[in-house]
Amino acid sequence: MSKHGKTFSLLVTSPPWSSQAHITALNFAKSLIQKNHHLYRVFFYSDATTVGINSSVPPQDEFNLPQAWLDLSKQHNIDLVICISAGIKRGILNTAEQDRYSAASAPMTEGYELSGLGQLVDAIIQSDRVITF
Amino acid sequence: MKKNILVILRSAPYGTSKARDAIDLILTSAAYDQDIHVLFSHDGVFQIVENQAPQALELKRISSLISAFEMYDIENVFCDSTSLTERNISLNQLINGIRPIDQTEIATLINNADTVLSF
Repeated sequence: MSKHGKTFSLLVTSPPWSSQAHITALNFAKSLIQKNHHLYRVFFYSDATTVGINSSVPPQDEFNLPQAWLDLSKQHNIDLVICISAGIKRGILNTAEQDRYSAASAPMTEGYELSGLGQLVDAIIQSDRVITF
Repeated sequence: MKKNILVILRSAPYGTSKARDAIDLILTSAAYDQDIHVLFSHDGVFQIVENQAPQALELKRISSLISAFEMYDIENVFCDSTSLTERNISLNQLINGIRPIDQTEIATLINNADTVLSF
């Protein structure tokens, strides 16, 4: 954590394509980093989890939201966590969950992490502020 | 580390998954031994009306999940008395263990919380 900044985490619950929430959350994340705050984790819950599906193909001349989250994560070493219970019922499985449920595919994007609500509780514990989108 | 977490449930019990999502988070927070506070307000007060029959929707009964809070040592459970009055809900329609509070007490609840999450 930087000397003067606060530690933030974001809870994103809204769907990625049919609401403005993700782009607002992303802009908020970029702003807080720019102002020398620290972003600990972004937790995707409910319909927000579908941002992590690797077969998503946004139109080429439009903003690639799932990639933008990944870029931010890589640049600033930020956890992108997809809620496992919300994710797997929407088909967001990694290879471990694919094996567990003998599912046809594992369409979760690499760079996102599939984990439990405990990761959100941990984010609440570790952060000065948790902002919901 | 223990944090004072306030979860505000403002949405109706059925129609969206918000109530269920919030309850899952509340139960997880309790399992992590956090100082959890719960407030039902606006249409969220319909979640604590005892008589619910969501079988036709193929959903679990939200009021039963909330009744189980006590088993998880979640004892600070409140509802906004104004929201009850606005919706003509009387106290005897509610499940046990929920304390109605006024706007001043709600302000104190929010003020005392380290983190406020709203669903």
